[in-house]
Amino acid sequence: MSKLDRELMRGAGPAAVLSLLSSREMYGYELVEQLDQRTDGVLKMGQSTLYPLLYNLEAKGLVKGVWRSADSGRDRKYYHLTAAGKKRLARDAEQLTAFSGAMKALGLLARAPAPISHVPVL
Amino acid sequence: MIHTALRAVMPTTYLNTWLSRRALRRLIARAELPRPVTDLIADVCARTHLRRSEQLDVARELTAHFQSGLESGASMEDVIAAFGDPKRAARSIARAKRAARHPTIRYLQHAILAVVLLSTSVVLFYAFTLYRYYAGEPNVTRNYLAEIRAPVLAIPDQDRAWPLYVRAIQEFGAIPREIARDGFAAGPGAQTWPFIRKYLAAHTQGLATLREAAGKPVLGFDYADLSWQKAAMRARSPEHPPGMDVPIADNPIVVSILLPHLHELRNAARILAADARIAAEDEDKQRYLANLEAIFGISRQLMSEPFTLSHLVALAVAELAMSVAREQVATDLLGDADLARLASGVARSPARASPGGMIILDLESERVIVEDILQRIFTDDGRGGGRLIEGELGDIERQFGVALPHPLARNGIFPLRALAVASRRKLQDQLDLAMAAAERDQRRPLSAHAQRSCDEEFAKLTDLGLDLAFPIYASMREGDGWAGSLFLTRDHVEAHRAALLTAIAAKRHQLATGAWPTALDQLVPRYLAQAPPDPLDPRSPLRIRTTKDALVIYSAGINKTDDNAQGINDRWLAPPNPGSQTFYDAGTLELWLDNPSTAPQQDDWILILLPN
Repeated sequence: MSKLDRELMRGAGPAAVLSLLSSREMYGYELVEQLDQRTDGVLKMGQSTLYPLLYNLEAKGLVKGVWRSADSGRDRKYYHLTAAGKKRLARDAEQLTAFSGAMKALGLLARAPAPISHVPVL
Repeated sequence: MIHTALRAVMPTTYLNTWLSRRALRRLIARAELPRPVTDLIADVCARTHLRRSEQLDVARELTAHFQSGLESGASMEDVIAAFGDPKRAARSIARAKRAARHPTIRYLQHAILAVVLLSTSVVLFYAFTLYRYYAGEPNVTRNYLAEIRAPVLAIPDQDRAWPLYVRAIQEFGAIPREIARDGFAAGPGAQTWPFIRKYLAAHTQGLATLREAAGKPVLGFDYADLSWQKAAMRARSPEHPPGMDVPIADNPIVVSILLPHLHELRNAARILAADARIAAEDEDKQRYLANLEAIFGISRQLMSEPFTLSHLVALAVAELAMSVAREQVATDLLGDADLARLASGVARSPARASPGGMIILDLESERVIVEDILQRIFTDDGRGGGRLIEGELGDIERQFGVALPHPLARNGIFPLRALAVASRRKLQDQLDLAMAAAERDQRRPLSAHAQRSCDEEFAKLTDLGLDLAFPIYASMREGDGWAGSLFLTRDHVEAHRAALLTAIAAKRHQLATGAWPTALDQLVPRYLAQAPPDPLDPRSPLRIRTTKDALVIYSAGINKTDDNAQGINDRWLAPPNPGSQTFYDAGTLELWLDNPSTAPQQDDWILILLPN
């Protein structure tokens, strides 16, 4: 499946990142890889796009980044969801569900999509 | 090492900004990434134009990102390609980082930026204003001094009075100390009177020269030739050497043109007035009348000058002569022929009345003064417009000795006046309006003084910034209301003249019939060409009334009601200081004219009282 259009990505991107971080903390490169792999490339975003998105989420207090040494000995900045981020994720999930339901009612969707958290990791 | 320790303790403080570019390069280099990757990271960081600490954060994150990418097995080319466009990345990162800054810092940054922009704008605007002010040049096209000199220089020498006045000054020589303090204004009974008598008796030649000068048809004073002052000073103060000659420029600004002859002519009038009083005491009526005719002659000569100030002095001189004449009208000094001769001089001075009965003043010098200022401190766009510039202002200020003490303050501040001064076109248009109003106003009678509005029009020149553009003009004007005061002075002289002519006619009637007239009709047309109008009620003639002690010539006053000469006694025409130019309380008169309800109930104005 091809990547989403930029306009759709603008709305879906933050929710996708929040969703990934809801399971565990991740570092930047890992987030890029997960978005690509777990959505089959649909939510693949340019690596230069991810960091601005993370900074925005961090500025809004939805995620927090912490520098730590990785197993390799190198420093990495790990991002995790804050309480505000969890609330925001819940709200986004609700809205996306309503959105997809509406699209289905209009006949745009063949069936209701599974929640993001249930997309199997490849 | 120090840098590493500091970063460990305070990983993202502003302290890092002090470590500048070297820290950034060192951080990127320490990641041991391939050169194209480190160049990419450095390029992205530089393009963000973020603060150094923020760039360090970004560099740190991007180096970790590319390290992760390479460690995952991707090739250098792949990780670079996957990163995306560095320019767009830098823009997005910068936007996000700025949005993440603390709001207070953001606001402070915006405020600082605003202040910097505003300050820069102000500085640029000020520089532009300075440039426009100092870069412009005036276009002085008219030489007003040459214009007013031309008719004077065309006068044949034998018709010019001024050289004779100069000779008279030399003939009089030094003025004794006893007289010098109060001058010749003192009259009989004053402490200095004996000194005046003695002095004038010793200077009959000077008096004769004055009379000869006053009899010339024109004054002929050359405004560019002040060399006579040396001779005058030498004659008056032989012990004090005269000062240096101050050369007059070819085309000086009109406001700098000196009129020292006015003082000399006023002095000459006072000398003649004093001698007239002496002649009256000595019952020498020919000398008495000759002196009065000379004083009237001086007033007529001054009226022919192109300056309003000269006309003001002319009015004062005529007033002096009329005051001296009044003293003898009711006495037995003058016979019928003498009184007729006196009336002839009074009727022609300071100028013949226009057909409407008014003395018309020449106000053109007021226009000339302003237009000359405009041509010297404004540019000329060829269409009557222009902007304020330095022009000749600095030179004029130095000439008048009014420059601001500190040149930097003056040169720095003065150009800003251009922001508050109207254009040359607007000032010229307003001047035209004011002059037209002045010409209308001087043709209104005294009773219509409240409708005179030209002072308001002249005041608008100040509103348009003329005083700001040329500060010396403000000091010359002596405040608002100068035109109204000038016209009131003219009205006063006219009223005095009308009353005096009536008094002379009444005296002639008395000499002929043995009694005062009971009505003005008895004097017309034998002794008066026509009944003079009441100055405060032009529709009615002056009024006369005989009492057991005197003949009273009076006006019905502001309320225009004839109260049979009851009311204000002899205030209006009685000079508070004999010989001075201030003949009445102009402020009170204006108040009553503007608000008739404030005038006294019974307010007949007694103009002349002729005792039996």
